[in-house]
Amino acid sequence: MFKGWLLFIFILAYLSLLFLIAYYAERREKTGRSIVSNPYVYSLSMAVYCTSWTFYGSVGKAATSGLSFLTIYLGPTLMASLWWIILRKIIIISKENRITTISDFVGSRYGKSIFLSALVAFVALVGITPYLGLQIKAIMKTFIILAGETRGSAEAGWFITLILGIFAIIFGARRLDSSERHEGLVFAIAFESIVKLIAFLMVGFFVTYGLFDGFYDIFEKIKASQYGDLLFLGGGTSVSHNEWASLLFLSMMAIMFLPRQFHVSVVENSDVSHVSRAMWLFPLYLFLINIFVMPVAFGGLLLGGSQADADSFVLTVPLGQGQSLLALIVFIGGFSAATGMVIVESLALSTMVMNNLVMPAIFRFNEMKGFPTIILNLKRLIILGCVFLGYFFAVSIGEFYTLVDIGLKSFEAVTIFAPSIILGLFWKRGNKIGAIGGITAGFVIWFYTLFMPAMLKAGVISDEGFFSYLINSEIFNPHSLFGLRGLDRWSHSLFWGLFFNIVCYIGLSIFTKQRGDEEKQALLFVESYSPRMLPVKGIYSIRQIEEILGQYVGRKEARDIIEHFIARNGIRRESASQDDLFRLRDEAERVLSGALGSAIATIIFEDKLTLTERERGEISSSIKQMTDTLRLSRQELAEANRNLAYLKEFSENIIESAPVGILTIDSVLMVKYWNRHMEAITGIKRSSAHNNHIVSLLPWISRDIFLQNEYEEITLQTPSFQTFKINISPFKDPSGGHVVILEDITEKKKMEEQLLQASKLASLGKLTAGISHEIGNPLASISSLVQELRSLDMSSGEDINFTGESLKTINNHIERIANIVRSLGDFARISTKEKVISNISEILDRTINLVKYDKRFKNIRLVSDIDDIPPLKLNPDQIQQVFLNLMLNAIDAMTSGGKLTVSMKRRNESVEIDFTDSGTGIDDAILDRIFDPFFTTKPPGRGTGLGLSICYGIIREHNGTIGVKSKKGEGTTFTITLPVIT
Amino acid sequence: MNSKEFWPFLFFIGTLLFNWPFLVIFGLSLPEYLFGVWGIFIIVTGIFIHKTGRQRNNRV
Repeated sequence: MFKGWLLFIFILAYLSLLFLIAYYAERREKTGRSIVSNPYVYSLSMAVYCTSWTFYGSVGKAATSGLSFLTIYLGPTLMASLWWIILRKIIIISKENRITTISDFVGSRYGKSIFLSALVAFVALVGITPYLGLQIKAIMKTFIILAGETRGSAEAGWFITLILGIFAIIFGARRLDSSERHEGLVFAIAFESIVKLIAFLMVGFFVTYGLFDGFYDIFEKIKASQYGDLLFLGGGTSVSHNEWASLLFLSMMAIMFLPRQFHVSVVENSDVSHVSRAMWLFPLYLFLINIFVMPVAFGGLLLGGSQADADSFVLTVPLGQGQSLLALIVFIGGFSAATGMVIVESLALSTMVMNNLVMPAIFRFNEMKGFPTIILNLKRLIILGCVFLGYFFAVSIGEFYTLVDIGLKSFEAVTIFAPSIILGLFWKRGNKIGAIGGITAGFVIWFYTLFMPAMLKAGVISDEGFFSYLINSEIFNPHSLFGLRGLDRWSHSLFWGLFFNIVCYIGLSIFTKQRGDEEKQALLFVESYSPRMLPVKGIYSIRQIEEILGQYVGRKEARDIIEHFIARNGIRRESASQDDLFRLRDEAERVLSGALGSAIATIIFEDKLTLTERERGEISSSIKQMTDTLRLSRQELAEANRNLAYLKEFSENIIESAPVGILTIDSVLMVKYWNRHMEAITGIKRSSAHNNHIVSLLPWISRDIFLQNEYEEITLQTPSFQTFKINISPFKDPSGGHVVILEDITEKKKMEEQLLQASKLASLGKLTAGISHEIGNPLASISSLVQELRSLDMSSGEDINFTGESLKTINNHIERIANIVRSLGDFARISTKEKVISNISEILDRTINLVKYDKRFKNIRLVSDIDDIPPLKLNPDQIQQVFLNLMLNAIDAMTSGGKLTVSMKRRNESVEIDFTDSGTGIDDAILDRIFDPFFTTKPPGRGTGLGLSICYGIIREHNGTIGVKSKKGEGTTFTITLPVIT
Repeated sequence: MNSKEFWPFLFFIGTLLFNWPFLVIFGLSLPEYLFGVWGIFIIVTGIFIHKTGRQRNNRV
């Protein structure tokens, strides 16, 4: 145990240390070396959420109703995941509009309504006072436990409250230059967060590993004890799933809308990017501070503690084990948790009360010119008033409730602001009347279902007469309003509160109209859009700004602020530009906003604006014009966006449904787009292809193709025998890249080959008829020679000579037949697919030899004029097919004989081959159709009409051309041009 | 998935996991389940913040 005076010394020493820390941070800020402006201090300052409720109350809650204490920390963890969307938006809007409190925020959203700000400030004051009382109650209780005597506890409580109030003034209202940020305060709060975390971890570690054998041991023992139910939900002493969900929701709202949370996370935020790091650092802090809550709670119960005193286990367990030093550290940790909350909350509440309740009232009757000291002292008085209001709640009503019960009432109270803020951020139609209706309805329900029963229980109001009627009524019973039973009191109050709040907010917003300034503010908040006002003619001089500021914050303070701003921005007093003056006015308004609230600050400066009526009219119409133009631009932009989205969807649909594979790559050949057909062709999923190198995905495409920044078309076969036609086009965009289109032509290729083979066989059939006598004649000769040989006498010498001659002749005939058959066989075999280096003259010779066997060729005179041509890269079988088709057609055209001239010449980079016959010629009318498939002039059964069409296809595939010239009755010339590719 | 889609999705999944019926399904080892999911939730948040932060830096 410690003496009371000793504890006071510890408290004062700790608070002094806090003050030194805050002072150091402020000094650093003034020298431009802030130690506060970073995400770690920002996250730790948010941990002001963890008050004495967390420090003592969570253990109490865990010991009485098990796991439900966790909802208070899981809710903020879940909400933190939306901070990137909601909190960021609130911060940006608040900075733009110089908002310093949550009441300012709500008022500003709904047309800078002073009445609405005042309503929110009033609700917050009534709703949060119990929470302040909770902290004071915790400090008083733990002080008594540690001092070991109750004597003088009321005086101690009063004195501690006074000390806390004074420190809140020192931290937040030392001067009136109170711009909205207080780096010293934030750093002190962050330090306190570390102190309370370390203190709690120490006691947790002591109980878990000092008094028991770890988590498992404690959990097993509690499971086997009478408190086994605490490990489960939905039965026994535990909370229901309904209550669990309600508490989760309440804590989500609390982390956003408690005035102190709004203050540290929005007003004290120095850089909006810090929010992202806080989204996981703050939940991590909550996780760490809760790890030992259950072990301490269960440990306390297992050591014989009662559930009624569980709020103090954190302190009584180490004390009971003779660990006085640890108990003192825990006391400091708990004190730290409570003071952080009291200081920030009272500062936030006092700013709200001052700016939204007191200042508008004073300003209405008296402008307070030249009385900065009165304003400052008024703010100090309000801070003390807030803290003492909490104290009186703690000693009057707080006695009857646990820490958690008191805290949850405040959570329910701030949930009243949720619809007006959250819907107000995303729904432009929400208006002031709706917000006033919603907040009023929510507050009435909260007061009736939670606060009034608390006062009845404490005896502040009597439960007789009218109140007795209400409590016993079926419809108006505050615990089962309108006959709704079966819900716990938190869910019950939350349900009816939100129901009436939302219905009033939406209903009134729909059925009433917004005023012009409400419409403008709604646009600013919902679209996060801030028009930049241009400097106007009636702007203030530096002297005027200093004078106005001096009237409210004091002449010296005002001069310091102006000098500091001028020095920081390198402005010369005698030659300040309009923009400089405009920014200086902004700064002065910002300072006044911190001291008097944004609405009053705006009024002060607007009233001072020395503009003529004409200038005011000009500015007004100019602003109106700007607003109208911007509104129109936004509509056009929205329309353009819609069109763009439609076009994007349309193009994507085309690309996705195209029967070819389409992909795009960037300048370093990484795949950026991969359509559905590509997945079908390659079997590679879009997700796997994205951001992968094209050569690793399609290794059969050479990287070199992409080096040339030109259109390319290639056909290639993959190792799995798929044939692709690939088009590669470079993007015109300067950033580079290509679009690649892949067409799977495997089937088409197969069909072409089959067609070619069929065409070959058709040519072969034609030849066979002409060639048959070439084989028949030697066979007849062989047959007659064989007959004669059989009748010879082999003993006669003459016959022996004849036999020799005959056999020689037979052999010649057989060789001739074999040549013919070999030629036919060579021609008939299945074609190869590849192009190889070949001698085109040899191919032409071979074809002429084949045709020469045809009996119809006997009457035709062949004239050949063939140059020496270097070997070319081509498909010899296909080219021979072309030559054969053209020569057979020439033979068909010269039924009664004629001349066929075949010439082959080198023309620069190409080879030209002419086949000129002296046949019947082709009619002009059909000349341009002869290469069409199935077009023929021959009688049915004599031709398929595919011969010339195949020739055309083959020559095109060799990147060559084929043309025809003809004159009826004079003959025809087919000219083939092939490029020289070796 | 971009930030605007991811955060509401994470919030939705988290809210589901911390409510009925999952609390009934894991009723026999509720403390382990709650702290486990809580830890994973924080890690996932941290990883996505890190990832999107790096993408922003790369863009810069």
